[in-house]
Amino acid sequence: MALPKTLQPGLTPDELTFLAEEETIDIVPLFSMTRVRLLSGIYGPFQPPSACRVPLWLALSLKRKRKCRIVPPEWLSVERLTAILKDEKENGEGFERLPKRFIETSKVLLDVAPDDLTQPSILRSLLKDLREVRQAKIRIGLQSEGVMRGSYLQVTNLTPLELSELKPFLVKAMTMMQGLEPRQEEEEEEDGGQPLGVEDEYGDE
Amino acid sequence: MSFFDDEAEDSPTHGHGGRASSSSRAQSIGASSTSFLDRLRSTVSPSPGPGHGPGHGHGHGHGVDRSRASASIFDESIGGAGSSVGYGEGGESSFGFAPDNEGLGSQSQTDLDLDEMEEMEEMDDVKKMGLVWVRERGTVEIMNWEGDLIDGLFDKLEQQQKMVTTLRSDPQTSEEEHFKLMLVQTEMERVKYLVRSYVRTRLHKIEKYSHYITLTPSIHHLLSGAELSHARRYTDLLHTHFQHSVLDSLPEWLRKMDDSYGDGLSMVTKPNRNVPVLIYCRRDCGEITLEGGERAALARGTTHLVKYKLVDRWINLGWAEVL
Repeated sequence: MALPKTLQPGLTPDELTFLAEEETIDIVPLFSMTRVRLLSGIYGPFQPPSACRVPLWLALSLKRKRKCRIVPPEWLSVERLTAILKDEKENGEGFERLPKRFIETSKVLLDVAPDDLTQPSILRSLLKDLREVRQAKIRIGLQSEGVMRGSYLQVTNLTPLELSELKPFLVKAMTMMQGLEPRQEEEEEEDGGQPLGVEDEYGDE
Repeated sequence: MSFFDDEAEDSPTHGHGGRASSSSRAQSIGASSTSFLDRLRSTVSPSPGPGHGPGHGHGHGHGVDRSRASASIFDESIGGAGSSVGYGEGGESSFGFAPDNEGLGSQSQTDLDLDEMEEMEEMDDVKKMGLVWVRERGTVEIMNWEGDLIDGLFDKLEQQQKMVTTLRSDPQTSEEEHFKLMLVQTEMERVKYLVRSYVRTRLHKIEKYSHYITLTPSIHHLLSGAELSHARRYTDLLHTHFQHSVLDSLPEWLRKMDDSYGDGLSMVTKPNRNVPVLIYCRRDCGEITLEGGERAALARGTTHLVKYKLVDRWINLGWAEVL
């Protein structure tokens, strides 16, 4: 109804990309224009050789009109990604701390502005490797025993996109685990007193 | 902070090339209308003033004003919640691991994610709207209605819209200004989408929990007036419908809408506060006790999937960001 069923479990990748587009990026404009005032701030002036900082959506919109060159973020380079990938592989325990929306940002940049990146095809495969290494770690991590105990999971340094992939599964698994646990002390009573999971998983139909 | 007042003192003859000629041409039409249009123009193309840093300026100043107000609200609630829990401001946690975490935070805070540490108060309204929207989407309970934020955004949207329509129809608007107007409109659509999705998410929750909301006066302050009256009317409609279609033909003792089963399962749908929520700790949130008696530290800069009821106060304080 008000919120379509597909949107109910959490944010979709499209919505996360929308949020990533609010973040700022440097561009080198190919046209000149005075400052422009938008709701989120004042951007410009746009003066060809000098860079200026704008939201990603603005950069992409200008890029599509061939009015600017996007300066890729510092981490989106072959050297940095190779180093990050190496660290990610060596770090068996946790996850590398990466820019919060690196998947979404790199995806739109590779789609819209591959000519502004150096060696886009290598970048693409590095990003893919990075993502796969992280996904493999997540899978191994979830198999290890005790990870779901007490319906708590530490997921530090995973990005929102990775988490949104995991969330529906984890939430469902946790509610089922809670349902299986023996009803310990009736402290649930003051909290609503429903058998766990019944309401939110199935109450919708 | 209105667009018009903001720029009224500015000389209308700054900025770009077409300006001088357009205003001199327009003088024959009428001085008052010219200055009005010029002022409109200067809102799209602001002059580089002392207080206007590139990329910030307007939005930033506004954000700071607002932060005062929200900070004081935060302080109050910290006083309430904090005293019972025993955590201080910032990182001075009574458990004494704040220094480590501060160190960890600044150490791992490379140039990659500086803006991630940005405090809520320093953000412009659009960024804040994004956060508020994500928070509403990520939680099961209905959150506080961000009326001030929405009103502020609506005011600005309305002003932008007026400006766009006026300048659009004005034949003297230059090519460059038309291009700017297009950018302004693009952004307006983005903001409108955010607001729309936010309201829809709330509407979904309200309709799902309408009966619970009407029965629980303690959460009425979380809803706007319109939302509350919608919840009431929706509940009424639903109940009347059930009564007419089914309940009236059932025996008296089966007609209740708010009964409980023997095991305590109620007919009134409530938000299940046991559903886990994803949080990112913007500040050190101390330690929580999980049901098994185990403890988990919510250090700054870490992400957790944890039962909503264990962390709701940090979410409401803005210390923990919902993902």
